[in-house]
Amino acid sequence: MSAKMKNAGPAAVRPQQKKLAKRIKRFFPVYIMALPGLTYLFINNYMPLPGLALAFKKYSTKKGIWGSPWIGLKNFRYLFRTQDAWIITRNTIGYNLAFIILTVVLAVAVAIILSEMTTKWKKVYQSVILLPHFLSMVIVSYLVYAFLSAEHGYFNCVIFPALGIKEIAWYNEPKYWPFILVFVHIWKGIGYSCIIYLSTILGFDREIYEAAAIDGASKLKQISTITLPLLRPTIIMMVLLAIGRIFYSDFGLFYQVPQRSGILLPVTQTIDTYVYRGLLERNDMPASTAAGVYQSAVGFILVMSANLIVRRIDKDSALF
Amino acid sequence: MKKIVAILLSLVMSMTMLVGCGSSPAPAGGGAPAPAAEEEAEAAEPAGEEAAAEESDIITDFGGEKITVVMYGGNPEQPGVERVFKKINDYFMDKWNIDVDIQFFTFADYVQDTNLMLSSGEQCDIFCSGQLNFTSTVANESCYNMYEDDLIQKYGKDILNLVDQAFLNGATVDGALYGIPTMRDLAVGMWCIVIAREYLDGIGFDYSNIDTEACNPATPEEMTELFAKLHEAYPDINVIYPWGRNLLNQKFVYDPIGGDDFGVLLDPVNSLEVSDLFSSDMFMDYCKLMYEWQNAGYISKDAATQTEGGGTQIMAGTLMADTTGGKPGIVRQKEVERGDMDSIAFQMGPNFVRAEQATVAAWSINSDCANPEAAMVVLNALYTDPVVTNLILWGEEGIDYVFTEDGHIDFPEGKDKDSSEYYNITPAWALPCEYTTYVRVGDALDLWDQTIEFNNTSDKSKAIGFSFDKSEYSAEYTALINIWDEYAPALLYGMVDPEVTIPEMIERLKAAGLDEYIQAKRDAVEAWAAGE
Repeated sequence: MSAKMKNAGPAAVRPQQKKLAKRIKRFFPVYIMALPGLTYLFINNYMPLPGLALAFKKYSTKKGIWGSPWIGLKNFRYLFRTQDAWIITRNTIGYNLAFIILTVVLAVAVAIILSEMTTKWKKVYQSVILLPHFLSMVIVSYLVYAFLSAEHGYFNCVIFPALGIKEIAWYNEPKYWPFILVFVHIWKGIGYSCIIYLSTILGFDREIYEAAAIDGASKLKQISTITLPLLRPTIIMMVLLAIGRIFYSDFGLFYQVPQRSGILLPVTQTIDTYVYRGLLERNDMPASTAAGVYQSAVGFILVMSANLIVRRIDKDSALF
Repeated sequence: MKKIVAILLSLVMSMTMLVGCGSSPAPAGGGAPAPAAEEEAEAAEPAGEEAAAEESDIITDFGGEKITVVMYGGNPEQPGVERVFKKINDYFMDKWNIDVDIQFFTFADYVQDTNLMLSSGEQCDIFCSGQLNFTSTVANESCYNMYEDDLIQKYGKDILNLVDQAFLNGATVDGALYGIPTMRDLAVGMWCIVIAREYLDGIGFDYSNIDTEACNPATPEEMTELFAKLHEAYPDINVIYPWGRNLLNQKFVYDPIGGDDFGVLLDPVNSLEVSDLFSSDMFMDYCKLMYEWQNAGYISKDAATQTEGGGTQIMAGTLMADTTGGKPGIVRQKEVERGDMDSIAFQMGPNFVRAEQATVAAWSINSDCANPEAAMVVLNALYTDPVVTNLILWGEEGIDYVFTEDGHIDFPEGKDKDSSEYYNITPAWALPCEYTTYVRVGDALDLWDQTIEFNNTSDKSKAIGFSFDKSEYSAEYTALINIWDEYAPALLYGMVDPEVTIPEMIERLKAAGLDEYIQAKRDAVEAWAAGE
């Protein structure tokens, strides 16, 4: 029996091996093309993973990461000692949700408007909307500063006196910042987001619209009954991609734009800026890593549950 | 199968988030095996070294051993740097056969670059642990114990003669000496304000009782009055840029023992009682004064988000005065900082030495150092050898500077600060010890004597020599500093009403463990005082 198996084994494997070899040969150029990306992914995303151990250790530069003694969850204590963990989680998710919803709504609207335009200025409008996307956040932060600076800002020096409104010390008033940050994000990102919707719309068969027009459908009717339903798969895909990144935050936006004003921290601090501050301003590696681990854990749960919900609603649209 | 792949994929996705912030520790992970190996080598070495030490007692020839010194300064990119550093290297090679490699980082980059060197295991034998935050550097075990095997007694005798034992004790943790205090102006003239003279001229200020070269005593009321006149004459220019959070200890006499503002000595000259700074009247009064100044328009409304220093703002013509710690030569130092702008200094508080001065700019030997003896010799020379200190500070005699008749130094003929190949690489106070350096034209010849005198005659904290190990309370500390960071700019630049904001901040600090932290400090001070 066992002898038979031994004999049968290689014979059964061989065709499979052949198949595999054939496949490798066939897709070899594709593998080569993927190699740089995979190498990058490995170096950037996998190699640092062992560093996670730092979150559970009392770090000593002399002993290195592995030689340092384990101290359990002590490094996480500071996160929960105050409301910090709650605040940074709330800000990260809250802002991202607002960004996702508003970006989709506005980007689709802008895409539809652009697609319906017949003026020769269309290209100009499109470029102007897209332009902020290419600005670095540091420059954006100074543009914002030029508007909001308490002393020389455009609002306080030109607009408010003209309207007779009292000056506002923007960088000392947390209540305005959720709106400012959302506005800046949308202003910077909308041109780029609408490109995908716009190109999808331009790909639609014009005959459908012509038929609808002949049947007497108004522009609004055309949009609500033709454009939007056809756009639905694209919208769902874009939202899902965004949800997958909901625990990232746009570091430049949250770190640079508020000009690091301390009093604004409760509404501008996100997990990424929190970790960065701990690491660079206080040289506290274990504490920063602990915040990072917390981010990964919550992020993992979030992505999994978002996917679960999407699967319930629309199985084909789920990521996995 | 598909499901497993899917779960793995999602794992990867969420892990990549961490990577964005976790990439900094990565080099340490990659480099981890190397330090471990070095550690073994080091462990083996002292044993052999010890045997050798017993035979010949003190090593004088180090066989070309390489020692890397990492210093900080204003302007390391200069054409003459290579030539001057070669000279310094030659000097060490001739005298002790040590291959000294000096590296300079700018003030802005020093902390980050040095940290990177330390955590990646790159050679970095002597560095300024005070700049990196002494307590956390010691907690990370980056500093070598200079009492081990009598290292400092054998190779750092001149340092022992130079530095007061009380200050060395301040850099000693559990009997181990982890750093040498920087020798410079240790006392700080509290409440020192330096005003550009042109604005005082503009309001017809009476200079009859004013010393233009030193700090003039004044009171906050007089200053408020003076500011009112300045503001009236120049309504578009901000009068003053006040102290930020890290310089709070230049404002009034209190001692932030242990290097933080949570639990301080409010009467440090007479008492070791640890109290809460934030609920003190002193703090409230100060914040109220700043609030008053802000509302009167003396302080920029953008002060909290201002990224340029006072000197830059004054040169740009948007500011009249900034703040500093008083000391001999401060007026000249400020004038140089402002591009030779005549200035007048006022000081509203006494001169005071706080306990933290022992570690605030301490220099340490890396615990990874392969040859601590050689490093100690180099550190000793950096503190006390005029040949070394003057080469670093001023370059080569005859090429980069010449002596004037009275003993000052100045540019050689035909050179100035722009055409010189080696000038102003760092201010004297950023050296381990400034006392052996030559004095440049414009400063008093006996500047360093004045400085030593200034240190000796100033009020001193009773807690000099105390150090606080906060590793057991790191969670509380991180939480507290996060809250203080949030409120400090607004309070210290008078942006918010202190009557409302201070109680709110105290409430949050208490919830984050302020009382426990202060109690821990109190216990540590008592234990330390009992041992003295």
